[in-house]
Amino acid sequence: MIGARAARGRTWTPGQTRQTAKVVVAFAMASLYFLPIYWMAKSSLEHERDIRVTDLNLGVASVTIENYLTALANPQVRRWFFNSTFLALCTMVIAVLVSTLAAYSIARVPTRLTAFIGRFFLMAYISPGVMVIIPLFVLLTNIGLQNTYRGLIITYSSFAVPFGTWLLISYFRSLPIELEDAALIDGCSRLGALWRVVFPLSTPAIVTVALFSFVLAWNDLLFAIVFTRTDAMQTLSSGLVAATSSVVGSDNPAPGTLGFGAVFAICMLIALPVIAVFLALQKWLVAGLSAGAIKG
Amino acid sequence: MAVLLLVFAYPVLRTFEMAFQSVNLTHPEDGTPFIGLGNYVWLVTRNDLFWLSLGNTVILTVLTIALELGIGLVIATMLVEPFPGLWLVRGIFFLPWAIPNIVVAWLMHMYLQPRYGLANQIIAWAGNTVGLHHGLFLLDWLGNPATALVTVALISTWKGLPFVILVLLAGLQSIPRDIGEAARIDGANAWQELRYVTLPSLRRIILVLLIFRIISTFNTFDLVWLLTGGGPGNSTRVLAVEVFNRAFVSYQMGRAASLTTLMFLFLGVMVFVLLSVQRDESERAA
Repeated sequence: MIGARAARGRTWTPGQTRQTAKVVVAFAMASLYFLPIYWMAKSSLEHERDIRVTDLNLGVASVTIENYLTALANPQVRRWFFNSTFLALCTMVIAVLVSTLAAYSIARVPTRLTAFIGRFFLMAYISPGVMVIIPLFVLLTNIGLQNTYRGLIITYSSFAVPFGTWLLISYFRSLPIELEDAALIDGCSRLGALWRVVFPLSTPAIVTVALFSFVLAWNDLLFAIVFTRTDAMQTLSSGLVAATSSVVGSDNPAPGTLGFGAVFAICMLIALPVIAVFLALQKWLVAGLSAGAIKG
Repeated sequence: MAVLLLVFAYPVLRTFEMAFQSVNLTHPEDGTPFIGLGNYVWLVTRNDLFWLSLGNTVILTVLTIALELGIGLVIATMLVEPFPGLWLVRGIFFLPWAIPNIVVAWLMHMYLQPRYGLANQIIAWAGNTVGLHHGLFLLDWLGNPATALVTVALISTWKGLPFVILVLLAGLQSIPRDIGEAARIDGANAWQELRYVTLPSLRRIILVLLIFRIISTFNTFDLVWLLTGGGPGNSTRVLAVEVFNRAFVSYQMGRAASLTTLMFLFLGVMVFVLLSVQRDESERAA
């Protein structure tokens, strides 16, 4: 390419050389960074004998969807899928509803406590899971919510709502109050103004909150392990741990009854929905986060 | 609201209560007597694992955050100005953010597996190509006590990088383009531009980022627990894993609770210091 350009008689400025070098470096780094993901995707599509090889092979040795079929034919795996989806959706709905209302009231109806509550919510979000898990375990056991959907949903919400509220407070504050005043003067109720004016304007932030709460529940491992007992309550994360526990730390991993390929396929099935949503909403996500987190 | 306050505030208060009690679920008939600072004294003086896991946690946090910020800054500055294929590179660098830890753990465990993993195969292939003896570099990344903690830090960097890049990118895009141009016209080179123009404008964002990343790395549980379980030996035992083991393996809830209060104290002090640094900065600016 350089030759072709030179032949056309164009000279390269230092700026262009720098630009080209930058693009090459960027792509090289991205490839290196992407390699593990590529390897997982490739392995999930290969026959068992092609995955367990000791020689380098970057290409795809064989293509089969057998692994995915094995994984999905397993009733346990299907159950994990249902559990994870159900928990994540419930958490998402609760988090969006509660944190929108809470954030709006805090942002628009200032009291002396407002600043404190905002900070408290942030503290709640950043406080470590391991810190609250012990008393939460005791609490949920005492009120009989251990090993139930409700127990897990409450737990996830108690992390998702504070973060959502904190993010939305700063976002709502950045909206001009005149718009709502206009709506109120025109005869809208507070809730009406929230629904017709504030909601449509804060789509990026609300999408961010929805996504965060969904992913929080979908990705969780700690609470799913500690708060569930029976096989029927396992989520994708905790179920996969059980399926691969013989693997961790062993020299010659043997992933239980599921083969390597099937475990890779389950991994892909866990990761793909999240990746798809993230990629689809990338633009909104960046807008929502930068407005909330950075100005906050 | 009240329910959430209950779910959130109650556990915290209960943790502080349990921290001063002897709670051992294997001996429920003993009840939960108040033992004052007994748990803390035991942790600090009688238990080597506390200091060990505190050290490991600090090493892991410092390593991870240094790597994340360093690499993140380089990549973010590359992604600010558009170039052909930017969307692809950006997508790739955001991808691991969307991948659950359990998948990251299993993937990396296999990727770094000494014989079947791709990492060692590439190293062996590269070694062969330049004529070194085959197998010279074959490293048991996670199975060797000497490398396990660094490997966990690398994996945690891999996973945490997208968030860092995203936030830095948003910050970089908010810097007016003409400041950098002015610096360049005045003869600043790339390093000087970064040092005197970009970094000062990013100071606030980097601080917020630091707080977020310190907190979440300091509390890392699932990644470490899944990758190594704290081993081999105790080489990757971090505080969060130690809490989990104490509470749900040996059922010493009281001691585990006091350990979490120490973690909270440590983080609280760190966040407070960072926030007061920030306040000083903004006051000086104003």
